[in-house]
Amino acid sequence: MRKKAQLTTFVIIAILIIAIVIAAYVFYTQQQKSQKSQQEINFVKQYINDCLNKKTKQAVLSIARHSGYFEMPNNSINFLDEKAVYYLKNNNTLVPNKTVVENQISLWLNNNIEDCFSVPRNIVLEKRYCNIKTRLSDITSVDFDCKIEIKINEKTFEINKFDSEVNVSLLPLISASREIVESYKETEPNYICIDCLDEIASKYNINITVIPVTKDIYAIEHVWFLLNSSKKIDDKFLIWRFVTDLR
Amino acid sequence: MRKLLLILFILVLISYNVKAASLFKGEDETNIVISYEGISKAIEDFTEICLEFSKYPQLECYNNPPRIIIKSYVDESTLNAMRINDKLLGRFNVINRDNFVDFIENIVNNIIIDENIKEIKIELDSNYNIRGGYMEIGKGKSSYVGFLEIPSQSETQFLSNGRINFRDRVFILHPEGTFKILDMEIKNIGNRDVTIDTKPENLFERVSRTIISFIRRIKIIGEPTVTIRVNNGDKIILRSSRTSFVPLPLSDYSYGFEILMEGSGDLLLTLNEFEDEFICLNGIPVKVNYIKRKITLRNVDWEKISMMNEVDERNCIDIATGDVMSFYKLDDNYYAEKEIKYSEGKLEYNLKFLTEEIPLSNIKGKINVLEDGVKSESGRVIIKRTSGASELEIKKLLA
Repeated sequence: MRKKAQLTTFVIIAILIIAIVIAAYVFYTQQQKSQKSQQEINFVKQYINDCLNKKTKQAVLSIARHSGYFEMPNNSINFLDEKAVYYLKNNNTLVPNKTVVENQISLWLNNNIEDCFSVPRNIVLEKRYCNIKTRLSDITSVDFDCKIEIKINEKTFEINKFDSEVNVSLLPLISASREIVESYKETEPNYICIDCLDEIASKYNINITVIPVTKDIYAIEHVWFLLNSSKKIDDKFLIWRFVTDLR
Repeated sequence: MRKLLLILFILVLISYNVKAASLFKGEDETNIVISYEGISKAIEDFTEICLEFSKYPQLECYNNPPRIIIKSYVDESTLNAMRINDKLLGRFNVINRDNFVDFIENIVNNIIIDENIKEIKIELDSNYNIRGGYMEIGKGKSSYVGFLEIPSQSETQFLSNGRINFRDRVFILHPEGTFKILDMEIKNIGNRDVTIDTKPENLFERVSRTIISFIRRIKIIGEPTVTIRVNNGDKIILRSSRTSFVPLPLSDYSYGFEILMEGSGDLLLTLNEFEDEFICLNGIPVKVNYIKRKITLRNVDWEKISMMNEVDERNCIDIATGDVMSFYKLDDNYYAEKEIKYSEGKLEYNLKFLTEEIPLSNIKGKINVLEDGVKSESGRVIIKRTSGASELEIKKLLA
């Protein structure tokens, strides 16, 4: 009777040990899976963030070269294979304001961030919704409110907040453009106020280059290049371009 | 009887037509019109003169604008009648009767009867002692310069057509050419001392406001009006400022400046011709005669020095502003542009100079004008020169 009881005890202990081992194994496996998923998620997040940062820089450079626009308005010309927009035409000032430029950067990003979601390592993700908001201040910052679903080991994870910043301000270039156009409007036809431009250039710490472009004797345009030589984006100068017609 | 009446009717009709045709022809071809500047004094005097002249069928007289039309040959009896009334007309200041009748007899009548005379130019001063003007007459035309006897020495009156009008005490210079006065020399060559008042601002009758305001900037020895005493044998030089140039024959404008002289003396007044700058108006180059004037009390001599047939110099002066402009040629036309100007103290540059084949000034200082464009003093502003450059070359410029 006593032997029978001892045997039962051993069986129970063995079962418990086996159960513990199994439980430990299952727990360990689960832990491993969870860690791996987290790593994958972190990788995806980092990848998208890096990509969006890169895209934001490209957007700022491109928008600046295209006079603050992604969707070019009708009043633009092609100069050196790139479009630039009239800021002064028929004596009308057409300089875009801060909100327009913010929206144009957002538009640029919206149209160019698709490849940021083609993540390597065969990670499958799905972009459900993306709202991009740009803010121009002393820096250029972008909030990407994108809802992204990632499927790992048949589980679905969701990530949704990204942001990026470029340490460059476009506001001085917009203001300088406006002041240049106003100064140009005040001069007599054909003339350009060198002293006024010099003052504007000093005020905004920029260099101004003007290229008169003659199409024919009656159609002369001036392409303006504003450059802040002390600020670079990935070793590239930020150049703001626009066009004025001959007054 | 019917046939006789018809022939008579035709004859009457023919004779009437011949008479009408000859009248018409006469009016058209032989009228001599003497017109006067429409100043109020002349209008007043002409009211009375016309009353007097109305009795002579050969003459038509109007007081506003003052003019006398000599319709046909004035016969000797009429001329004598006009002379007899000399005392009556003697009170008129506008016309010296003797001179006027002599003029009709010797000149007007000859023009009317001699079909070969097409036009005649008379210096009234020397030929008829009618001071203060000259006259041009062309047959069958009616727009001619009149002459005027000065009623009062103190009044300043003008003749048109840019002639120098010379009187005892008042010199009014109406330069014939467009010119810039560099130096004006006045020398007292007489025995008595004289005082000269220059009144450069008191000149204008028919000048646009813009030009008036511009001309008012003329300074002679720093002041708009100066009084100078020129003693016997003294010589003074009135030197004008840079903007002192007087445009004339470009339009109907007539202006100059006057020198009032008090006392009596003999003056030699000489204007030196200007140098290598010439005038352009609204960007259109203007041909300019350089005429040197030498004026004494008794003579006005004109010496043509040179005439610019072609505008090929680099600089000229904008008569409206006094700015120095540059010429450039494009498609066989000449254009004048200002390269640099100041507006409210700020330097402005003409962008056309960078798109056309215009020689640039080699200026350095507040602005640096270089072969490849213009740089501001700080170097922050660069305007590239792109005249004739292709897009590829512009690309290189930008690199």
